[in-house]
Amino acid sequence: MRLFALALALGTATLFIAASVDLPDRGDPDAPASNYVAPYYVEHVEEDIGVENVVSAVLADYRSYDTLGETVVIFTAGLAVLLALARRERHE
Amino acid sequence: MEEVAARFPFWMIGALLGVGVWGMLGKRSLVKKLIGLNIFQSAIILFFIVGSMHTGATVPILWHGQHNPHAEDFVNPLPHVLMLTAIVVSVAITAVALAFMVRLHRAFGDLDEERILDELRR
Amino acid sequence: MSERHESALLHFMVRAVMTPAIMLYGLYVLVHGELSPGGGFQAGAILAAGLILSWLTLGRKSESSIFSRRTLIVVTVLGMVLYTGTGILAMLFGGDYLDYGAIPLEWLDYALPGELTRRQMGVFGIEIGVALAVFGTLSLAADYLTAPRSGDEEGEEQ
Repeated sequence: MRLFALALALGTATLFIAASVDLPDRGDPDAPASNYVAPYYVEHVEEDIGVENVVSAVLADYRSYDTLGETVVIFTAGLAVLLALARRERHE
Repeated sequence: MEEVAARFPFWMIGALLGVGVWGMLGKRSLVKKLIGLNIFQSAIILFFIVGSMHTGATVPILWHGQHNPHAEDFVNPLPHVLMLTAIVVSVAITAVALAFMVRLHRAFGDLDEERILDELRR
Repeated sequence: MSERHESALLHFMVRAVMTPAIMLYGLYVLVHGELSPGGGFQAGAILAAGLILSWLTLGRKSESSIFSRRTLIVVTVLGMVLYTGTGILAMLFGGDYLDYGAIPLEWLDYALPGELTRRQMGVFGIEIGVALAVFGTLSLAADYLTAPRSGDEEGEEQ
């Protein structure tokens, strides 16, 4: 069982490194990830929103639905911790 | 040397992924499994952050009063946003998992996976 | 928490120096989240770190903390309500959900003309909501996870 886990771990690492050969280099400005919607955010944030921190602008305005869902996730996590650990109080 | 510097982050991320999978599958303690899960998540977060990098670029925060910024001068802000979300979700997962572990420890007095399974089968 | 381990210096450093400094820094990160590195999640995490530091070192006593469990639940829900309420407020004024540009805040038009200031205010509003929600959730989780098994709620010691 532990050998199987070890093989799986090594396999994951090897698979990722083998697949990373096709990824663009670190720091490559022509990488596809940086060339479709990301330049729009940097270049239009001043006229669209007027917030200088682009990360905050994307988080809270362009993609505020994502952030809403994320807030719901952490709220639900707090609720789950509460439900799992709260004791029945004072009226046994 | 350039080639190694451009590729080195991916090798390290691959190693971290392997460590995470080993922690999740090869360890018997539930806490160590959770640590493995966190290492795996950290590897994914690092992967996205490495992908956001541009050579010669700075943090995605415009300086005050800057007009017509060029996208090449700033690193890609989108992976940072997505990973901020991922970090918060990982914190939520960790909190819920720890809460369940506290319950399990109260019920079985142990956090060893095999022993808990034995106890359940009995 | 046994009383004899409490030293006066530790008490002073944590309660009067470190926790206020950390929480003030959290507020700074929250308020400057639009202009510098920072934002709602980071601010909430830093605020919770300050609170948890004081709990870990001084113990959890209800009379010594204004953040009881009930207060923290209220803070968390208030954060969620602030977030969704900002979105619904934009809807009430004819925009889409979470379209802050529709909220009429003309009296805030001192720095930037038109929609920009309103959008900044909307972003600021939901950042505050997120910070409150994260602060409440992290503090609640830390409180419940570190609660002693036999203790009652609010850390009342036997």
